[in-house]
Amino acid sequence: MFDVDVSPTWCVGSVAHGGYLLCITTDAVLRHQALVGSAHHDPAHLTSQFFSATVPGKAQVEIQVVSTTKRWTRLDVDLYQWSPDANTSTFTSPDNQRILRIRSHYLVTTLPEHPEAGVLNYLSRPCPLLEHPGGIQMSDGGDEVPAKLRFHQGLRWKIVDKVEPNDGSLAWACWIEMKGGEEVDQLSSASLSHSRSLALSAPYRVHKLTLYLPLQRSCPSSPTSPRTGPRCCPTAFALDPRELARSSTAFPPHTS
Amino acid sequence: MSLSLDFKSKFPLSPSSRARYGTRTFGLYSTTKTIHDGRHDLTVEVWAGPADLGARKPEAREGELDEDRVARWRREGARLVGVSTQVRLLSLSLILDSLRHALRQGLLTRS
Repeated sequence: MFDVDVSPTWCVGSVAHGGYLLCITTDAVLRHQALVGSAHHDPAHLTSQFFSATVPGKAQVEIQVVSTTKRWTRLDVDLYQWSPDANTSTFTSPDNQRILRIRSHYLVTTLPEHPEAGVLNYLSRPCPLLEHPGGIQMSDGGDEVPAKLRFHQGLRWKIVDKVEPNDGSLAWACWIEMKGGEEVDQLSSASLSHSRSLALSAPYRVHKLTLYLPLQRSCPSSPTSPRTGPRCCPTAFALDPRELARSSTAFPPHTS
Repeated sequence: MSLSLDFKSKFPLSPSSRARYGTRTFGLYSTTKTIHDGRHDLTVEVWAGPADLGARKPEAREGELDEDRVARWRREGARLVGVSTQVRLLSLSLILDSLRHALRQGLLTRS
């Protein structure tokens, strides 16, 4: 089990962002695999059920090994919070209940390198975004990022023309850039997974877009405290240095 | 809400190819395939792109087409790195919120 600190920055309104929460669980998975000395360190697939809203504050991630074979490790990963007070220390009080927020299943393996350009493979179809990101004029700051995303000041984006599906589906596309100097490909492969677990929902034609953004950065100090092992770090990328400092002091440094 | 995420290859991309991609930028391509009885399915692809936003490179040859008349950068300068599918049940409050947003943005008009 890992104790984690859910950052108030990575929220949509008052609840934690789903992609960010997957960053936390995936980070815990990678730390678990390293701790047990597994040969499998690349998450290949995950499925998650979100049962109720996770709020900023303390949470616990529990990992159970379902099976291990030569090529795959299967893990069940659950995220719990105490409710109504996530930060409670009165665990025996009947006023506080431990709630299962997220249940995930992970397939972890050793993934191949991405095929080089020019090699015909199932990943080699053309990018469906039709505008070269380098040629986009960003002097206006780009398109508006909804303010209810608490992390909206940390990124900018531009909605662009895209390949239109021919089956009646609605499509939406954008290029997103991190404004804080974070380099996507310098994030750990753990955090990476999450960096892109961005999901947009564009229900109906109203184009109300909900962003699931999980950008996580390796923390200078790690705020996940395992009950039975070293600390894991899911607090992640802090937009405000003051918050990062606060997060860093909330838990002892990572020692593993 | 249920979400799945598929990782297509090891990440980060290999060091030899790193210089060809934007380091702070990624692309999203989202398609909504089913809206039925309050159920909303969507797929989101995450792409590595050939440059950071607004960071034009002289060697990018943005308009150059390949033999299929597809912009060359769309094949050689971009990589699909992950695909997510999501299913969620739309609550009435979410739908009303969406409609209010659409009215404010002028995407819908009151009749």
